[in-house]
Amino acid sequence: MQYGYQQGPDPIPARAGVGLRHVHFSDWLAQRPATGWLEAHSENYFGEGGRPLAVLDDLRRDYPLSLHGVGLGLGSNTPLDRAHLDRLKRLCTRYQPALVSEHLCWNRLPGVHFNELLPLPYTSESLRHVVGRIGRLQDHLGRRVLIENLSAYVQWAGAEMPEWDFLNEVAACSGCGILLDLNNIHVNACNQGFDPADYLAAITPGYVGEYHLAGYEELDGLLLDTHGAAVSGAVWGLYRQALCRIGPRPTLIEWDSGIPALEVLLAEATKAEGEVRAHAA
Amino acid sequence: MPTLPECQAFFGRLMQGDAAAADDWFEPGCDHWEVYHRSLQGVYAVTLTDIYPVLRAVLGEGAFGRLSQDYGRTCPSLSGDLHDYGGGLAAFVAGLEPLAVLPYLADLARLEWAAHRLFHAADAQAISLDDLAAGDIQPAIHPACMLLHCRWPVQRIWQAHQGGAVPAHEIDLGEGPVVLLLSRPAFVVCVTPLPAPSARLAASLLEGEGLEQACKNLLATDAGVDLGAALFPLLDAGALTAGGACAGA
Repeated sequence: MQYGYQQGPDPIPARAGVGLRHVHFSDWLAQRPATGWLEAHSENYFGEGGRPLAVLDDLRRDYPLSLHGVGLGLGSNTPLDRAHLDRLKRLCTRYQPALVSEHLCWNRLPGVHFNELLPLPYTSESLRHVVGRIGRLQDHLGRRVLIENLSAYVQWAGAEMPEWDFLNEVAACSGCGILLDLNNIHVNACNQGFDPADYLAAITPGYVGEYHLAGYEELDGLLLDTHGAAVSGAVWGLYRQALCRIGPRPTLIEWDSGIPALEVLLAEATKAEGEVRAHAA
Repeated sequence: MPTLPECQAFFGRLMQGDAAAADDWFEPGCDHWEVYHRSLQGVYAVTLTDIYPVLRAVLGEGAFGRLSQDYGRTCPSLSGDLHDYGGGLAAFVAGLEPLAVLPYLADLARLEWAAHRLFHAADAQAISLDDLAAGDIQPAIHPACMLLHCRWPVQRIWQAHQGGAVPAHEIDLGEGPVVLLLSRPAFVVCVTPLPAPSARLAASLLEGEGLEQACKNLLATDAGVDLGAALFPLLDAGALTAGGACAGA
C-alpha cells in the first residue's frame, strides 16, 4: 500500500523545526516560541505516563510533530522487536505525527543491544534485508516512514554501491522517504574522502521528505557527529545546495550533547528559515 | 564479501572487547570502530547517571564511572530503549566485594531504579480522604505505585539528596529494615516509610485486591488493627485512585 510522506491532521510545512529535549520542557511550555514544528525522539515517550507525555500532550496542541526513532535498528539480523514496534504505534496513535522517521542502521545481536547507530554493508543482501524490515514497519504503523542516512566511522569492505545509491534503492524498493541529514553527509565526506556534491546530485529529490542540520566536533583529525555544536559553515553551504538541487523541506535543528539554551536552537532555526527565504527570492 | 550476519557478528565481537584483526573487514582509513566502543561506554555512563544520581553522589564520580563500565561489560543492554537499561545495577552492586563495606548501596540502587520506573508509569487521579468519605468510588492502588522492602532505611539518604532537612553525613542507618511506599500522584516520585499495618494493606492492594478485601485481609492478621491509621499514609502519599466499576463517577 502507498502512503504519502506526511500523514495526520497537521502537516509539517517546509520550515525549520527544533528537536524537543527534556531540559527545555519548561521553556517550551512557558514561551511557546513561534517555531514551525517539533521533533521528539520516539523512545523518550515510550512510557505509560508521567511528565514527558504530559508535556508532549500540551505542546502537540500548538505544534505539528515529527517522531524520530533512534533505537529500532531496522538493519539488525534479529527479529524486529515487536514490543518496540507496538510502543511506537501507540505513540503514533496518541500524537498523530505528520512525520515518522528511523535510521538506516543496525544495533542488535541475539542477547545484546548496542545502543548506537551502526552502519550496514552496502550490498544487495543488506538492501533486501532492510527493505523487508522497512516494509514491515510501514505495514505495522499503517504509514510511510522516512529513513535517515548516518554518520559512519567504519566503511565495510566489499561494498557493492555507494551510500547514495543504496539510500535511493531503499526508498525505491520499500516506498519509504529519505530523511537527508546534511551534517552526516559532510562528516562522512570529510572522513571518507568523497565530494558531498556528488551525494546531493545522486539523491532522487522526490524521495526526500525532511532535512536534518546539526553540528559536529573534530577529534584527532576525525569529524564526529556529536550534535554538540552549532551547524558549521560547510553544512550551511550544503543546505543551500540542497535547497537548489532538491528543494525546501521540513528542516530540523538537532542538538543532543552540551545542550545550550533554547534560544540558541531557535536562532539556528531562524537562520535555516532565512536560507529558505533567500532561496525563494 | 562476508554476509550481513557475519559482518554484524564480527562487529559485535569488536564492541565486546574481543578485538580480532579488523583490517580485512573495513576500507583502509575508515576503520574507526573504536569510536563506537567509546561512544557506547559514554552513552551507558550518562544513562546510569540519569537514573542513579544519589548512588553516584554517594560513591563519587570516579568510582561510579568505574562501576558503570564494569556493569556495561557484565550486563549488556537488552533493549533499543535506553530507559530499560540499568535495571540490574542493584544486584550487580550487591555482588561486588569491594562495595561490601557499604552494604546499603544495593537497597539505594533498588530505590532509584523503582523511582525511575515510576517516573514513566501510567497516570491516574489520586483520591483524598474527602473523596473516600464521599463514597461512590471503589478505591484501588494507583498505577504509579510500588512497595520496596529494604534492609536499610535508604530513604533517609535519598531524601537528603532531594534537598531534605537532614544532611547526608548525619543520617543514622541503624534503625533496621523498612518498607517503603513509592508513589507518583502527579509528576514527582514520593518515598514514604510505612508502618507494618499500612505495608500489609498496600501489599494486598498491589496484589489487585479492592480496598474492602484488603482491609479484611489486614483484620484477619490483626483483629485489633486501627484501619484508619493504616489507610491514612496511603491516602497521604497519593497511592489510591478511584478504580473499579465506579471509576470516573
